[in-house]
Amino acid sequence: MNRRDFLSQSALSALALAPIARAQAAQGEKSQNIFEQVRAGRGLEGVDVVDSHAHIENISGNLFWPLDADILMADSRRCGIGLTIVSPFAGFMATSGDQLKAAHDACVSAVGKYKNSLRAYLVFQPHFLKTSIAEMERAVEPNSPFVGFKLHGAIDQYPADGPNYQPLFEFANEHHLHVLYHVFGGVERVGLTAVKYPQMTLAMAHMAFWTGATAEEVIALLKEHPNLYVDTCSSTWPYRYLEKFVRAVGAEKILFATDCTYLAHGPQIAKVAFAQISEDEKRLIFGGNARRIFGNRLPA
Amino acid sequence: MKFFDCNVMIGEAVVPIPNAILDARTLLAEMDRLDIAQALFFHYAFTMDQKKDINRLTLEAARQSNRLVPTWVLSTAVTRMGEKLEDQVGRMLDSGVKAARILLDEGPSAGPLILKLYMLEDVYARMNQHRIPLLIPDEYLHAQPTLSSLIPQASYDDIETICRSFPDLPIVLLQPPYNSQQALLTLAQRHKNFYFSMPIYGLFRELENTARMIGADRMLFGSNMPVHDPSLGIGMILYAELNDRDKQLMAGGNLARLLESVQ
Repeated sequence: MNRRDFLSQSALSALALAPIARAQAAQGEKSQNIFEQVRAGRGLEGVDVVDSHAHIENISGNLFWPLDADILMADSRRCGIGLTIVSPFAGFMATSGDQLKAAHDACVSAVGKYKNSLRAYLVFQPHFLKTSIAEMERAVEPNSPFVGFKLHGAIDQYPADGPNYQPLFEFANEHHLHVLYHVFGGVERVGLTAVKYPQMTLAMAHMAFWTGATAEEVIALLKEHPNLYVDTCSSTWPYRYLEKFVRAVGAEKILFATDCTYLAHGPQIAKVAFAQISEDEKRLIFGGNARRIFGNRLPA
Repeated sequence: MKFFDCNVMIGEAVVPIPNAILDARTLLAEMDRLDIAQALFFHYAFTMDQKKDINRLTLEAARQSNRLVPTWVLSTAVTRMGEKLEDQVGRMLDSGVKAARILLDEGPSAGPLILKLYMLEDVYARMNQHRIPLLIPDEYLHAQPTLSSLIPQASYDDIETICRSFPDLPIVLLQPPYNSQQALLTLAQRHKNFYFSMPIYGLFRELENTARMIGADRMLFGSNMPVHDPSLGIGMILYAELNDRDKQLMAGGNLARLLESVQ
């Protein structure tokens, strides 16, 4: 079965593409394709765009990094991003359990303000294990604004198979939750984790750049583990890299991400929009895959 | 929006670049696809007479289309008895080339890149006289070795010295990273002849806020194709919170102005 056959026959993918089809229909037959829209510098229309990796922070220097949810939401709307999932910078930078909780509280407030277009990840800090374990319960509260977890292995200098991450993975596995991980300590350890916790989905941030792994090693892992994904945000991007990954593992394994308000939106949108892949593959990456992974945890 | 890319290479390397753009025709096809109007480019070669062959191949490729604007790859070390490095500036202009770039000397006998005045003052002086833009990859300024060259002995200090000593010589730093902002802003504020390319310089609002501080006329679109994907720079400019005039300057106007200023 080739990838197109798989897509056409997969109930999950059909479910993922349903809102896209609705959006396309709403746009009518004359709407521009994704490439044309982005090349014209317009906000995407008729495309269900879910940014699976973004950030907010209430403290703003207002010089290079205006970071709060208001500016993120304004910019996302301008670019045609319908839904954004954020983690708080303050969570990664927390040096106490109270600071970690406060960072999560700020996310609750932000999502409360942007109910239809914003969701959040809980930050799990391996060095504040007691607080992090207590905080992870917030993901399964009714109407939780939290749709999964963000682990920043590089900041925490903590590998995926480190013991302090295991309570989180067990929890995510039990509740079929998504974990976004900035890899530290080698991608092979991420592979071991994906095998051990097959009911959770696990995304390697930034295509697992800066981990020492080659593209081929990352591709091999993605092929081996059905619950393993990558996201697209990065400040640099090898020529035709997305095409390489889509050919090798399928668009289904790749999540659109911007890393805003760290990075700018434009390059992150354009790298998907201008890739030499099909329109359906772009739609899966832009939002279809996130819809499939997060399901009804995301607003329609 | 008319894009004029300041940083493109064609040709094959010894260690193959994935998706290398081997010839002018392939580059033109990619420029057509992405609607890039023009590209300042060079044709890589790895030979015993490397820089000379690079420039010969570049000029040959440029003849295929006026959308392909040749860049002279500057010799930074003599390889012939009695050679004067500054003489290449005349040859460059005679060939119709209006921009030069630094490329590391490669191979076992090649020395490290040195940009200091005691090595290249006469070359800079000649380029300054003609206002020829000099493009310098930022990656050469961080003491990182490549597979086929020694660790460059160059830094931002050299850039500052060149800009200060030769105020009519436009220096274009290629691909500086986003966390170079302090050095870039300072250099741009101190020296009117300092420019740099995006998009790795791409934090949230970094482009817009930098333009507010130093003006939109110091930043250039440069893809570094085929190592990096041109989509990032195009997207950065198209979606910037800037007016169309400023976007057009960055997309290609600034580069066109620099080339038009060559005397």
